[in-house]
Amino acid sequence: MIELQDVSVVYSGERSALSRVSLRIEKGEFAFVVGSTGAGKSTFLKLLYRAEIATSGKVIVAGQNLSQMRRRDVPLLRRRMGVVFQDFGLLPDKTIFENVAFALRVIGAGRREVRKKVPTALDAVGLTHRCDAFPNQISGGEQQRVAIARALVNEPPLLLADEPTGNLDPDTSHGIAEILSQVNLRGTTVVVATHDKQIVDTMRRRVVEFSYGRIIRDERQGIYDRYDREEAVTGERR
Amino acid sequence: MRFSSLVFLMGEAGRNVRRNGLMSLAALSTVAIAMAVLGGAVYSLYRLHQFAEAQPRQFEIAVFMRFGQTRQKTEDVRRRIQALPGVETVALYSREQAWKDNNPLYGQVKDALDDNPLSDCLQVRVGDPKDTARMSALLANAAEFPEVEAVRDAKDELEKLFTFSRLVRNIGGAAAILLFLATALVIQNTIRLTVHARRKEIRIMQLVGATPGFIKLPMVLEGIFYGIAGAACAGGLVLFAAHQVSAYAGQFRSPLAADMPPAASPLVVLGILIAGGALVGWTGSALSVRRFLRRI
Repeated sequence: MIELQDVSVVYSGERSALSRVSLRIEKGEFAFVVGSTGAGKSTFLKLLYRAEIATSGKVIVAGQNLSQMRRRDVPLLRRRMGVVFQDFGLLPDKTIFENVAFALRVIGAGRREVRKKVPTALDAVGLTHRCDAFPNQISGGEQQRVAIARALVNEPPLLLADEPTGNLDPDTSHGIAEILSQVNLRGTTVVVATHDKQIVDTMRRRVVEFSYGRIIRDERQGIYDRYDREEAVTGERR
Repeated sequence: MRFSSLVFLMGEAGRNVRRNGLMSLAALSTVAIAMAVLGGAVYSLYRLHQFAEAQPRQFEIAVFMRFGQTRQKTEDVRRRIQALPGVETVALYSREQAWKDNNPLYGQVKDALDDNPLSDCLQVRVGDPKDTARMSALLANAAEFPEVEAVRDAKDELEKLFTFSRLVRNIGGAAAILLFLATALVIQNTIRLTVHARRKEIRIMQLVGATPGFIKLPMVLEGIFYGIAGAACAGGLVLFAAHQVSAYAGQFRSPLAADMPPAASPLVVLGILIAGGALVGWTGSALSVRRFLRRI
Protein backbone atom coordinates (compact mmCIF):
# COMPACT_ATOMS: atom_id res chain seq x y z
CA MET A 1 0.00 0.00 0.00
CA ILE A 2 2.71 2.45 1.01
CA GLU A 3 6.36 2.26 0.14
CA LEU A 4 9.14 4.75 0.70
CA GLN A 5 12.48 4.09 -0.93
CA ASP A 6 15.41 6.12 0.33
CA VAL A 7 13.31 9.24 0.68
CA SER A 8 14.72 12.60 1.72
CA VAL A 9 12.88 15.88 2.14
CA VAL A 10 14.92 19.04 2.43
CA TYR A 11 13.29 22.37 3.20
CA SER A 12 14.76 25.49 1.63
CA GLY A 13 18.18 24.06 1.04
CA GLU A 14 19.40 23.36 4.54
CA ARG A 15 17.25 21.68 7.18
CA SER A 16 16.34 18.18 6.18
CA ALA A 17 12.95 17.04 7.46
CA LEU A 18 13.45 13.46 6.39
CA SER A 19 16.70 11.84 5.43
CA ARG A 20 16.99 8.58 3.55
CA VAL A 21 13.85 6.97 4.91
CA SER A 22 12.78 3.57 3.62
CA LEU A 23 9.59 1.96 4.83
CA ARG A 24 6.82 -0.39 3.74
CA ILE A 25 3.29 -0.50 5.09
CA GLU A 26 1.19 -3.33 3.75
CA LYS A 27 -2.43 -3.20 2.73
CA GLY A 28 -4.73 -3.59 5.72
CA GLU A 29 -2.03 -2.73 8.23
CA PHE A 30 -2.38 -0.43 11.24
CA ALA A 31 0.71 1.60 12.03
CA PHE A 32 1.55 4.26 14.59
CA VAL A 33 4.17 6.84 13.72
CA VAL A 34 5.77 8.31 16.84
CA GLY A 35 8.58 10.68 17.67
CA SER A 36 9.11 14.07 19.26
CA THR A 37 7.93 17.29 17.63
CA GLY A 38 9.93 18.01 14.50
CA ALA A 39 11.08 14.42 14.14
CA GLY A 40 9.46 14.12 10.72
CA LYS A 41 6.07 12.48 11.43
CA SER A 42 3.98 15.16 9.79
CA THR A 43 6.33 15.43 6.83
CA PHE A 44 5.99 11.69 6.38
CA LEU A 45 2.19 11.92 6.32
CA LYS A 46 2.30 14.93 4.00
CA LEU A 47 4.37 12.90 1.57
CA LEU A 48 1.62 10.29 1.52
CA TYR A 49 -1.19 12.71 0.66
CA ARG A 50 1.20 14.66 -1.51
CA ALA A 51 1.16 17.95 0.28
CA GLU A 52 4.91 17.52 0.19
CA ILE A 53 7.11 16.14 -2.55
CA ALA A 54 10.23 14.11 -1.81
CA THR A 55 13.47 15.90 -2.64
CA SER A 56 14.94 12.53 -3.52
CA GLY A 57 13.82 8.92 -3.39
CA LYS A 58 10.54 7.29 -4.31
CA VAL A 59 7.17 7.51 -2.57
CA ILE A 60 4.73 4.89 -3.77
CA VAL A 61 1.11 4.89 -2.61
CA ALA A 62 -1.36 2.39 -4.02
CA GLY A 63 1.05 1.54 -6.80
CA GLN A 64 1.59 5.13 -7.90
CA ASN A 65 4.88 6.97 -7.72
CA LEU A 66 3.89 10.27 -6.15
CA SER A 67 7.11 12.05 -7.11
CA GLN A 68 6.22 11.73 -10.76
CA MET A 69 2.53 12.38 -10.36
CA ARG A 70 1.08 15.26 -12.37
CA ARG A 71 -0.59 18.03 -10.41
CA ARG A 72 -3.95 17.34 -11.96
CA ASP A 73 -3.87 13.72 -10.81
CA VAL A 74 -3.44 14.68 -7.14
CA PRO A 75 -7.21 15.14 -6.52
CA LEU A 76 -7.82 11.61 -7.79
CA LEU A 77 -5.16 10.24 -5.43
CA ARG A 78 -6.75 12.03 -2.49
CA ARG A 79 -10.15 10.60 -3.25
CA ARG A 80 -8.69 7.23 -2.43
CA MET A 81 -7.54 8.25 1.05
CA GLY A 82 -9.00 9.92 4.10
CA VAL A 83 -7.05 12.42 6.19
CA VAL A 84 -7.81 13.40 9.80
CA PHE A 85 -6.13 16.19 11.77
CA GLN A 86 -5.72 17.28 15.35
CA ASP A 87 -7.85 20.39 14.80
CA PHE A 88 -10.78 18.38 13.29
CA GLY A 89 -11.19 20.89 10.48
CA LEU A 90 -14.98 21.01 10.58
CA LEU A 91 -16.85 23.86 8.96
CA PRO A 92 -18.64 25.77 11.73
CA ASP A 93 -21.55 26.96 9.61
CA LYS A 94 -22.50 23.51 8.39
CA THR A 95 -24.27 20.78 10.36
CA ILE A 96 -22.63 17.46 11.10
CA PHE A 97 -24.48 15.89 8.19
CA GLU A 98 -23.49 18.73 5.84
CA ASN A 99 -19.88 18.56 6.97
CA VAL A 100 -19.67 14.91 6.00
CA ALA A 101 -21.73 15.48 2.85
CA PHE A 102 -19.38 18.35 1.88
CA ALA A 103 -16.57 15.87 1.22
CA LEU A 104 -18.83 14.09 -1.25
CA ARG A 105 -20.36 17.17 -2.84
CA VAL A 106 -17.02 18.75 -3.67
CA ILE A 107 -15.93 15.71 -5.61
CA GLY A 108 -19.08 15.98 -7.66
CA ALA A 109 -21.31 13.39 -5.97
CA GLY A 110 -25.04 13.72 -6.54
CA ARG A 111 -27.77 14.01 -3.91
CA ARG A 112 -28.68 10.34 -4.03
CA GLU A 113 -25.13 9.25 -3.31
CA VAL A 114 -24.91 11.73 -0.44
CA ARG A 115 -28.15 10.43 1.07
CA LYS A 116 -26.85 6.90 0.89
CA LYS A 117 -23.26 7.29 2.07
CA VAL A 118 -23.38 9.98 4.74
CA PRO A 119 -25.65 8.06 7.18
CA THR A 120 -23.45 4.98 6.76
CA ALA A 121 -20.33 6.97 7.62
CA LEU A 122 -21.99 8.67 10.60
CA ASP A 123 -23.23 5.30 11.79
CA ALA A 124 -19.68 3.93 11.68
CA VAL A 125 -18.58 6.56 14.20
CA GLY A 126 -21.80 6.33 16.25
CA LEU A 127 -23.08 9.84 15.55
CA THR A 128 -26.26 9.27 13.57
CA HIS A 129 -28.32 10.92 16.32
CA ARG A 130 -26.32 14.18 16.17
CA CYS A 131 -26.48 14.73 12.45
CA ASP A 132 -28.45 18.01 12.71
CA ALA A 133 -26.16 19.56 15.32
CA PHE A 134 -23.53 22.15 14.50
CA PRO A 135 -19.87 21.53 15.41
CA ASN A 136 -19.95 23.99 18.32
CA GLN A 137 -22.84 22.05 19.86
CA ILE A 138 -20.92 18.82 20.23
CA SER A 139 -17.86 17.75 22.24
CA GLY A 140 -14.29 17.58 20.96
CA GLY A 141 -14.37 13.81 20.79
CA GLU A 142 -17.58 13.92 18.76
CA GLN A 143 -16.07 16.50 16.45
CA GLN A 144 -13.12 14.24 15.80
CA ARG A 145 -15.53 11.39 15.07
CA VAL A 146 -17.26 13.61 12.53
CA ALA A 147 -13.87 14.30 10.96
CA ILE A 148 -13.25 10.56 10.76
CA ALA A 149 -16.68 10.01 9.23
CA ARG A 150 -15.86 12.67 6.65
CA ALA A 151 -12.54 11.00 5.90
CA LEU A 152 -14.29 7.65 5.47
CA VAL A 153 -17.42 8.68 3.63
CA ASN A 154 -15.80 8.11 0.27
CA GLU A 155 -14.81 4.59 1.39
CA PRO A 156 -11.07 5.07 0.87
CA PRO A 157 -8.70 2.12 1.27
CA LEU A 158 -6.27 4.30 3.26
CA LEU A 159 -6.81 6.49 6.32
CA LEU A 160 -4.12 8.92 7.50
CA ALA A 161 -4.44 10.60 10.89
CA ASP A 162 -2.13 13.34 12.16
CA GLU A 163 -2.39 13.62 15.95
CA PRO A 164 -6.08 12.68 15.97
CA THR A 165 -6.25 12.67 19.77
CA GLY A 166 -3.97 15.65 20.36
CA ASN A 167 -6.80 17.84 21.66
CA LEU A 168 -8.73 15.17 23.55
CA ASP A 169 -8.81 13.82 27.09
CA PRO A 170 -7.64 10.21 27.69
CA ASP A 171 -11.10 8.62 27.77
CA THR A 172 -12.21 10.32 24.60
CA SER A 173 -8.90 9.43 22.96
CA HIS A 174 -9.58 5.84 23.79
CA GLY A 175 -12.91 6.07 21.98
CA ILE A 176 -11.23 7.51 18.90
CA ALA A 177 -8.61 4.74 18.99
CA GLU A 178 -11.43 2.22 19.13
CA ILE A 179 -13.03 3.69 16.05
CA LEU A 180 -9.72 3.70 14.15
CA SER A 181 -9.26 0.10 15.14
CA GLN A 182 -12.71 -0.83 13.81
CA VAL A 183 -12.01 1.00 10.59
CA ASN A 184 -8.86 -1.07 10.24
CA LEU A 185 -10.79 -4.28 10.93
CA ARG A 186 -12.93 -3.52 7.90
CA GLY A 187 -9.82 -3.64 5.75
CA THR A 188 -8.74 -0.02 5.61
CA THR A 189 -5.03 0.64 5.98
CA VAL A 190 -4.58 3.08 8.88
CA VAL A 191 -1.53 5.23 9.60
CA VAL A 192 -1.64 7.36 12.75
CA ALA A 193 0.99 9.90 13.74
CA THR A 194 0.67 10.51 17.45
CA HIS A 195 2.12 11.66 20.76
CA ASP A 196 -0.51 9.74 22.68
CA LYS A 197 1.44 7.22 24.70
CA GLN A 198 -1.66 5.72 26.21
CA ILE A 199 -3.36 4.64 23.00
CA VAL A 200 -0.12 3.34 21.48
CA ASP A 201 0.64 1.31 24.55
CA THR A 202 -2.88 -0.06 24.83
CA MET A 203 -3.32 -1.06 21.21
CA ARG A 204 0.04 -2.74 20.67
CA ARG A 205 0.19 -2.21 16.96
CA ARG A 206 3.12 -1.58 14.68
CA VAL A 207 5.16 1.42 15.85
CA VAL A 208 7.53 3.37 13.63
CA GLU A 209 9.61 5.93 15.51
CA PHE A 210 11.15 8.96 13.83
CA SER A 211 13.96 11.04 15.26
CA TYR A 212 15.66 13.91 13.47
CA GLY A 213 14.18 12.80 10.17
CA ARG A 214 15.26 9.18 10.38
CA ILE A 215 13.49 5.99 11.36
CA ILE A 216 15.15 4.76 14.53
CA ARG A 217 12.71 1.99 15.42
CA ASP A 218 10.13 -0.15 13.67
CA GLU A 219 8.40 -2.74 15.83
CA ARG A 220 5.59 -5.07 14.97
CA GLN A 221 3.69 -4.85 18.26
CA GLY A 222 5.41 -1.87 19.74
CA ILE A 223 4.81 0.60 22.48
CA TYR A 224 5.35 4.35 22.63
CA ASP A 225 8.74 4.52 24.37
CA ARG A 226 11.52 2.28 23.37
CA TYR A 227 13.24 2.35 26.79
CA ASP A 228 10.45 1.27 29.11
CA ARG A 229 9.35 -1.76 27.21
CA GLU A 230 9.49 -4.02 30.22
CA GLU A 231 7.71 -1.54 32.42
CA ALA A 232 4.94 -1.24 29.88
CA VAL A 233 4.58 -4.97 29.65
CA THR A 234 4.43 -5.38 33.40
CA GLY A 235 2.27 -2.30 33.71
CA GLU A 236 4.40 -0.73 36.44
CA ARG A 237 4.66 2.64 34.81
CA ARG A 238 1.98 4.68 33.14
CA MET B 1 -20.62 18.54 -14.33
CA ARG B 2 -23.87 17.40 -12.80
CA PHE B 3 -26.69 19.89 -12.48
CA SER B 4 -26.96 19.20 -8.74
CA SER B 5 -23.25 20.00 -8.38
CA LEU B 6 -23.77 23.31 -10.12
CA VAL B 7 -26.65 24.11 -7.78
CA PHE B 8 -24.44 23.17 -4.85
CA LEU B 9 -21.61 25.41 -6.05
CA MET B 10 -23.97 28.32 -6.66
CA GLY B 11 -25.28 27.83 -3.13
CA GLU B 12 -21.70 27.98 -1.87
CA ALA B 13 -21.12 31.19 -3.83
CA GLY B 14 -24.29 32.72 -2.35
CA ARG B 15 -23.15 31.68 1.11
CA ASN B 16 -19.83 33.46 0.50
CA VAL B 17 -21.58 36.65 -0.51
CA ARG B 18 -23.71 36.55 2.65
CA ARG B 19 -20.82 35.63 4.89
CA ASN B 20 -18.61 38.39 3.56
CA GLY B 21 -21.41 40.72 4.66
CA LEU B 22 -20.20 44.31 4.74
CA MET B 23 -17.27 43.44 2.52
CA SER B 24 -19.70 42.17 -0.12
CA LEU B 25 -21.58 45.43 0.17
CA ALA B 26 -18.33 47.37 -0.17
CA ALA B 27 -17.33 45.34 -3.22
CA LEU B 28 -20.75 45.68 -4.75
CA SER B 29 -20.94 49.43 -4.26
CA THR B 30 -17.38 49.94 -5.47
CA VAL B 31 -18.15 47.92 -8.55
CA ALA B 32 -21.39 49.84 -9.00
CA ILE B 33 -19.62 53.19 -8.76
CA ALA B 34 -16.76 52.13 -11.00
CA MET B 35 -19.19 50.63 -13.51
CA ALA B 36 -21.35 53.76 -13.36
CA VAL B 37 -18.32 55.92 -14.10
CA LEU B 38 -17.16 53.47 -16.73
CA GLY B 39 -20.64 53.05 -18.20
CA GLY B 40 -21.37 56.77 -18.01
CA ALA B 41 -18.07 57.63 -19.64
CA VAL B 42 -18.45 55.02 -22.35
CA TYR B 43 -22.07 55.95 -22.93
CA SER B 44 -21.45 59.67 -23.23
CA LEU B 45 -18.38 59.07 -25.35
CA TYR B 46 -20.44 56.79 -27.51
CA ARG B 47 -23.08 59.48 -27.89
CA LEU B 48 -20.42 62.07 -28.62
CA HIS B 49 -18.81 59.79 -31.14
CA GLN B 50 -22.19 59.07 -32.71
CA PHE B 51 -22.83 62.80 -32.90
CA ALA B 52 -19.44 63.50 -34.39
CA GLU B 53 -19.92 60.72 -36.91
CA ALA B 54 -23.34 62.03 -37.84
CA GLN B 55 -22.08 65.55 -38.50
CA PRO B 56 -20.33 64.98 -41.81
CA ARG B 57 -23.62 63.68 -43.20
CA GLN B 58 -24.90 67.19 -42.87
CA PHE B 59 -22.19 68.40 -45.19
CA GLU B 60 -22.97 68.41 -48.79
CA ILE B 61 -21.01 69.00 -51.88
CA ALA B 62 -22.37 72.00 -53.69
CA VAL B 63 -22.04 71.67 -57.45
CA PHE B 64 -22.63 74.97 -59.29
CA MET B 65 -23.71 74.82 -62.91
CA ARG B 66 -22.43 77.17 -65.56
CA PHE B 67 -24.51 80.32 -65.84
CA GLY B 68 -27.23 80.32 -68.40
CA GLN B 69 -27.48 76.56 -68.72
CA THR B 70 -30.89 75.10 -69.40
CA ARG B 71 -32.77 73.26 -66.64
CA GLN B 72 -32.80 70.28 -68.97
CA LYS B 73 -29.01 70.08 -68.88
CA THR B 74 -28.92 70.50 -65.09
CA GLU B 75 -31.39 67.63 -64.74
CA ASP B 76 -29.22 65.57 -67.00
CA VAL B 77 -26.12 66.21 -64.85
CA ARG B 78 -28.18 65.43 -61.74
CA ARG B 79 -29.03 61.99 -63.15
CA ARG B 80 -25.42 61.32 -64.07
CA ILE B 81 -24.17 62.22 -60.58
CA GLN B 82 -26.92 60.17 -58.99
CA ALA B 83 -25.69 57.15 -60.96
CA LEU B 84 -22.15 57.47 -59.54
CA PRO B 85 -21.24 54.86 -56.92
CA GLY B 86 -21.19 56.20 -53.35
CA VAL B 87 -23.66 58.98 -53.98
CA GLU B 88 -26.61 58.99 -51.63
CA THR B 89 -28.80 61.87 -52.81
CA VAL B 90 -28.60 64.67 -55.30
CA ALA B 91 -31.01 67.55 -54.85
CA LEU B 92 -31.58 70.49 -57.13
CA TYR B 93 -31.34 73.91 -55.56
CA SER B 94 -32.77 75.96 -58.38
CA ARG B 95 -31.51 79.39 -59.25
CA GLU B 96 -35.01 80.79 -58.67
CA GLN B 97 -35.15 79.37 -55.17
CA ALA B 98 -31.64 80.60 -54.42
CA TRP B 99 -32.55 84.01 -55.67
CA LYS B 100 -35.59 84.02 -53.44
CA ASP B 101 -33.65 82.78 -50.38
CA ASN B 102 -30.67 85.04 -50.71
CA ASN B 103 -32.08 88.33 -51.91
CA PRO B 104 -33.44 90.35 -48.99
CA LEU B 105 -35.07 92.73 -51.39
CA TYR B 106 -36.94 90.00 -53.23
CA GLY B 107 -40.45 91.02 -53.99
CA GLN B 108 -39.75 94.65 -53.37
CA VAL B 109 -37.26 95.36 -56.06
CA LYS B 110 -38.17 92.46 -58.21
CA ASP B 111 -39.08 94.64 -61.04
CA ALA B 112 -36.05 96.82 -60.66
CA LEU B 113 -33.62 93.90 -60.76
CA ASP B 114 -35.37 91.38 -62.82
CA ASP B 115 -32.36 89.56 -64.06
CA ASN B 116 -31.42 86.65 -61.76
CA PRO B 117 -27.58 86.50 -61.67
CA LEU B 118 -27.42 83.07 -60.02
CA SER B 119 -27.01 79.64 -61.52
CA ASP B 120 -28.48 76.27 -60.63
CA CYS B 121 -26.85 74.29 -57.89
CA LEU B 122 -26.89 70.54 -57.17
CA GLN B 123 -26.51 69.44 -53.56
CA VAL B 124 -24.75 66.07 -53.43
CA ARG B 125 -24.66 63.89 -50.37
CA VAL B 126 -22.28 60.93 -50.27
CA GLY B 127 -22.90 57.72 -48.31
CA ASP B 128 -19.55 57.74 -46.58
CA PRO B 129 -18.42 61.22 -45.50
CA LYS B 130 -14.81 60.17 -45.97
CA ASP B 131 -15.59 59.96 -49.70
CA THR B 132 -16.34 63.66 -49.84
CA ALA B 133 -12.92 64.80 -51.02
CA ARG B 134 -12.68 62.14 -53.70
CA MET B 135 -16.18 62.87 -54.92
CA SER B 136 -15.70 66.61 -55.14
CA ALA B 137 -12.48 66.13 -57.09
CA LEU B 138 -14.35 63.92 -59.52
CA LEU B 139 -17.18 66.42 -59.94
CA ALA B 140 -14.74 69.27 -60.47
CA ASN B 141 -13.14 67.39 -63.34
CA ALA B 142 -14.00 69.50 -66.41
CA ALA B 143 -13.52 66.61 -68.80
CA GLU B 144 -16.18 64.57 -67.02
CA PHE B 145 -18.59 67.36 -66.25
CA PRO B 146 -18.10 70.28 -68.60
CA GLU B 147 -21.41 71.77 -67.45
CA VAL B 148 -20.03 72.33 -63.95
CA GLU B 149 -18.68 75.74 -63.06
CA ALA B 150 -17.44 75.15 -59.51
CA VAL B 151 -17.54 72.61 -56.67
CA ARG B 152 -17.49 73.44 -52.98
CA ASP B 153 -17.18 71.00 -50.11
CA ALA B 154 -16.56 71.38 -46.39
CA LYS B 155 -13.17 69.72 -46.48
CA ASP B 156 -11.58 71.59 -43.59
CA GLU B 157 -14.60 71.32 -41.33
CA LEU B 158 -14.79 67.61 -42.03
CA GLU B 159 -11.12 67.18 -41.25
CA LYS B 160 -11.62 68.85 -37.87
CA LEU B 161 -14.60 66.71 -37.08
CA PHE B 162 -12.77 63.53 -37.93
CA THR B 163 -9.87 64.55 -35.70
CA PHE B 164 -12.27 65.31 -32.88
CA SER B 165 -14.06 62.04 -33.31
CA ARG B 166 -10.75 60.13 -33.27
CA LEU B 167 -9.72 61.98 -30.13
CA VAL B 168 -12.98 61.11 -28.41
CA ARG B 169 -12.52 57.47 -29.34
CA ASN B 170 -8.91 57.25 -28.15
CA ILE B 171 -9.32 59.09 -24.86
CA GLY B 172 -12.56 57.28 -24.19
CA GLY B 173 -10.96 53.93 -24.95
CA ALA B 174 -8.01 54.60 -22.66
CA ALA B 175 -10.29 55.78 -19.84
CA ALA B 176 -12.48 52.71 -20.30
CA ILE B 177 -9.49 50.36 -20.09
CA LEU B 178 -8.19 52.05 -16.94
CA LEU B 179 -11.58 51.95 -15.25
CA PHE B 180 -12.01 48.33 -16.26
CA LEU B 181 -8.68 47.48 -14.66
CA ALA B 182 -9.52 49.41 -11.50
CA THR B 183 -12.84 47.59 -11.18
CA ALA B 184 -11.20 44.23 -11.76
CA LEU B 185 -8.69 45.01 -9.00
CA VAL B 186 -11.45 45.87 -6.52
CA ILE B 187 -13.15 42.58 -7.25
CA GLN B 188 -9.85 40.76 -7.06
CA ASN B 189 -9.33 42.17 -3.58
CA THR B 190 -12.77 41.11 -2.42
CA ILE B 191 -12.31 37.61 -3.72
CA ARG B 192 -8.95 37.50 -2.00
CA LEU B 193 -10.83 38.09 1.25
CA THR B 194 -13.16 35.26 0.34
CA VAL B 195 -10.23 32.98 -0.32
CA HIS B 196 -8.82 33.99 3.04
CA ALA B 197 -12.12 33.50 4.86
CA ARG B 198 -12.60 30.14 3.21
CA ARG B 199 -9.08 28.81 3.58
CA LYS B 200 -10.28 26.11 5.94
CA GLU B 201 -12.95 25.00 3.50
CA ILE B 202 -10.50 25.15 0.63
CA ARG B 203 -8.01 23.04 2.57
CA ILE B 204 -10.68 20.44 3.22
CA MET B 205 -11.72 20.51 -0.42
CA GLN B 206 -8.14 19.96 -1.48
CA LEU B 207 -7.71 17.14 1.00
CA VAL B 208 -10.78 15.22 -0.02
CA GLY B 209 -9.75 15.47 -3.65
CA ALA B 210 -11.85 18.27 -5.11
CA THR B 211 -10.46 19.35 -8.46
CA PRO B 212 -9.06 22.90 -8.70
CA GLY B 213 -11.92 23.84 -11.00
CA PHE B 214 -14.47 22.75 -8.44
CA ILE B 215 -12.69 24.73 -5.73
CA LYS B 216 -12.45 27.86 -7.87
CA LEU B 217 -15.92 27.90 -9.35
CA PRO B 218 -17.86 29.27 -6.34
CA MET B 219 -15.37 32.11 -6.03
CA VAL B 220 -15.47 32.88 -9.72
CA LEU B 221 -19.27 32.85 -9.52
CA GLU B 222 -19.06 35.21 -6.57
CA GLY B 223 -16.91 37.62 -8.58
CA ILE B 224 -19.30 37.44 -11.51
CA PHE B 225 -22.18 38.13 -9.13
CA TYR B 226 -20.48 41.31 -7.85
CA GLY B 227 -19.81 42.36 -11.42
CA ILE B 228 -23.37 41.77 -12.60
CA ALA B 229 -25.10 43.24 -9.54
CA GLY B 230 -22.80 46.26 -9.58
CA ALA B 231 -23.34 46.73 -13.29
CA ALA B 232 -27.12 46.51 -12.89
CA CYS B 233 -27.03 49.29 -10.28
CA ALA B 234 -24.67 51.25 -12.50
CA GLY B 235 -26.96 50.71 -15.49
CA GLY B 236 -29.86 52.22 -13.58
CA LEU B 237 -27.72 55.20 -12.63
CA VAL B 238 -26.41 55.77 -16.13
CA LEU B 239 -29.86 55.53 -17.73
CA PHE B 240 -31.31 57.86 -15.12
CA ALA B 241 -28.51 60.36 -15.68
CA ALA B 242 -28.84 60.10 -19.46
CA HIS B 243 -32.57 60.72 -19.18
CA GLN B 244 -32.04 63.77 -16.97
CA VAL B 245 -29.36 65.18 -19.24
CA SER B 246 -31.39 64.76 -22.40
CA ALA B 247 -34.46 66.27 -20.70
CA TYR B 248 -32.30 69.23 -19.73
CA ALA B 249 -30.72 69.51 -23.15
CA GLY B 250 -34.17 69.31 -24.72
CA GLN B 251 -35.02 72.69 -23.25
CA PHE B 252 -32.62 74.37 -25.62
CA ARG B 253 -33.50 74.85 -29.23
CA SER B 254 -30.10 74.19 -30.61
CA PRO B 255 -29.69 73.30 -34.25
CA LEU B 256 -27.22 70.68 -33.03
CA ALA B 257 -29.85 68.96 -30.92
CA ALA B 258 -31.82 68.21 -34.02
CA ASP B 259 -28.83 66.47 -35.51
CA MET B 260 -28.45 64.16 -32.51
CA PRO B 261 -29.04 60.59 -33.57
CA PRO B 262 -31.55 58.65 -31.47
CA ALA B 263 -30.20 57.22 -28.21
CA ALA B 264 -29.47 53.51 -27.82
CA SER B 265 -32.31 51.55 -26.24
CA PRO B 266 -32.10 51.30 -22.41
CA LEU B 267 -32.16 47.51 -22.65
CA VAL B 268 -29.12 47.52 -24.91
CA VAL B 269 -27.24 49.84 -22.54
CA LEU B 270 -28.19 47.66 -19.57
CA GLY B 271 -27.27 44.50 -21.44
CA ILE B 272 -23.86 45.81 -22.45
CA LEU B 273 -23.15 47.06 -18.93
CA ILE B 274 -24.15 43.74 -17.39
CA ALA B 275 -22.05 41.80 -19.87
CA GLY B 276 -19.17 44.15 -19.06
CA GLY B 277 -19.80 43.64 -15.35
CA ALA B 278 -19.77 39.88 -15.71
CA LEU B 279 -16.52 40.10 -17.64
CA VAL B 280 -14.90 42.41 -15.11
CA GLY B 281 -16.09 40.18 -12.23
CA TRP B 282 -14.76 37.10 -13.91
CA THR B 283 -11.42 38.76 -14.64
CA GLY B 284 -11.04 40.00 -11.07
CA SER B 285 -11.95 36.75 -9.41
CA ALA B 286 -9.93 34.63 -11.81
CA LEU B 287 -6.89 36.80 -11.07
CA SER B 288 -7.44 36.44 -7.35
CA VAL B 289 -8.12 32.73 -7.37
CA ARG B 290 -5.04 32.11 -9.46
CA ARG B 291 -2.81 34.18 -7.25
CA PHE B 292 -4.02 33.27 -3.82
CA LEU B 293 -5.17 29.70 -4.13
CA ARG B 294 -1.62 28.52 -4.66
CA ARG B 295 -0.58 29.81 -1.26
CA ILE B 296 -2.95 27.65 0.75
